[in-house]
Amino acid sequence: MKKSVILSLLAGVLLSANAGAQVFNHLSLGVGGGTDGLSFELAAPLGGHVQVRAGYGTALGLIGYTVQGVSVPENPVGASGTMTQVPMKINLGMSDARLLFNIYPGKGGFHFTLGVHAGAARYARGTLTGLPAVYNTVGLEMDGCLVKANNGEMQANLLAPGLGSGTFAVKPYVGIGFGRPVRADKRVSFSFDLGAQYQGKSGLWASGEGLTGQVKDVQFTEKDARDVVSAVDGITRYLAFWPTLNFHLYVRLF
Amino acid sequence: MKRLFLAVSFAALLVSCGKPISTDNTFENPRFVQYAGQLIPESGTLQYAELTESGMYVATLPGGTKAGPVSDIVDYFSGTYGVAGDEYHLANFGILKFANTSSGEVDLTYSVMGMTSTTTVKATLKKGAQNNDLFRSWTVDKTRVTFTSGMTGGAEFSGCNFREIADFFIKNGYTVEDDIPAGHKLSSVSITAAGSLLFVYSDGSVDLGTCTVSGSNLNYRWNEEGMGFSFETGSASYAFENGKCILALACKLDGTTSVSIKMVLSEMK
Repeated sequence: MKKSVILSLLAGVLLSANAGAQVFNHLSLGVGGGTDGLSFELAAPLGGHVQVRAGYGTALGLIGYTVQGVSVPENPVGASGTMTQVPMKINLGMSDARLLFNIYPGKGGFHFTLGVHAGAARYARGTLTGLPAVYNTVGLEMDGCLVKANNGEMQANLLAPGLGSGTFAVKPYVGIGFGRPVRADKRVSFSFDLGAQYQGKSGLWASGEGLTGQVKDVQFTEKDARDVVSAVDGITRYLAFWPTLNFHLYVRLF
Repeated sequence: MKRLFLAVSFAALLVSCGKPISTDNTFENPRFVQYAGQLIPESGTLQYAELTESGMYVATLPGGTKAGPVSDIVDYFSGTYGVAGDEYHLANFGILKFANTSSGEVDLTYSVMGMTSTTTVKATLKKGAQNNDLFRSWTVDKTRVTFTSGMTGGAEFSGCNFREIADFFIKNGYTVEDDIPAGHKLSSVSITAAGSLLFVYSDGSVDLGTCTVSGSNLNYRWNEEGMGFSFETGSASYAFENGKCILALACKLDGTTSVSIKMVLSEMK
């Protein structure tokens, strides 16, 4: 898979090399937003049929969805085993750099896009709300760390590394779109993109405190938090490919 | 120039970095490591004495021999000791004198405070191999109690007070058979190369057992049935983390629920 991404990127560069001139002779600055967060980009032509875009995007957690009925024990240290259901708010939370190549088969704005998003593996923030008060004093133990709630809310993050590992993600992107970030004949232009990032299997992570006081991010596992993991897996199994829909407005700087 | 600027800009957008967690697990030898050993007299009033690597001692006398914490059969005494040549001054207990060189039979002369005579007997001295940082005395910073069922839940306590922990078990719906006195707080834990496990409590009482180390496991057995608590299984594990020792006692509640009592131990100086 990694080889395919690298070969695709190389193909884009080679296409531009074949075009000969018109390489990096203009530069546009763009801002936009979509399901991959709010972003800014720099874009430049690599010949007549390829434009390269590099940028950084982050989601501010403004857009989200609430999942109802996540089962948790009423008391995680209790003998009764009684379960209760609480809602989980999920908000977009990605933060990554991206390097994308728009490939134009014709003279119009229609393009294919190949590229990669790289950065934090987190793509959403999750908050279990309305937890019983006991969760403020006792916690869930994962990988030797204790994860506690604060005022009945337990913060967690959804992470997916794509082709990366741990908390650093490398997510290949493939899509189509319309528009040219750099237009020699116009100062302002736009681009609309629709595609998907491969992000692989998701995991729910939270910040926990170890026995000797160190704080680290730990993953909710089937062994330690079966019901929460099961509820989250029910949603994230459809998100191995993150749907990416965005719109950018560009201003040509030179 | 423009192209160089662009290339640098693009590269800068793809950089990230991380910071590793520090793990310092080095321990210096305890200050009394060369004096540590276990003495078992062949006869006389003194039944047993052990000098730990960190300057703690434990000694036993027949019940009622000397004023102090009294049990039915054996009285346990514990505290710190000092060294003067071949003499070992056991605080609030007495003086031992013997050639502390290697395991084997020694001539032991001792006197116990409050008893007039000085006794000389043959005794067996056992000195263990000092090959593990575990062999020293520790104080308890905090304790984490972890329950494993569908979820792994945990609660933390400052220090280690077995009465407080037992109350927590009961409050959360478990049965605890032990009648643990109030203030039964653990002051120190000593593990010796000679194979002893010593719990000293804030009320002066002592639990003494034997233990063996196997890999990262510590298997222990209390000397008397009344020592320890019914929820302990006699099995523990240990690990070193950030200059601390994590001692995890495996427990069983109501015969079914697995519980781990993890103590965060700091080296006693």
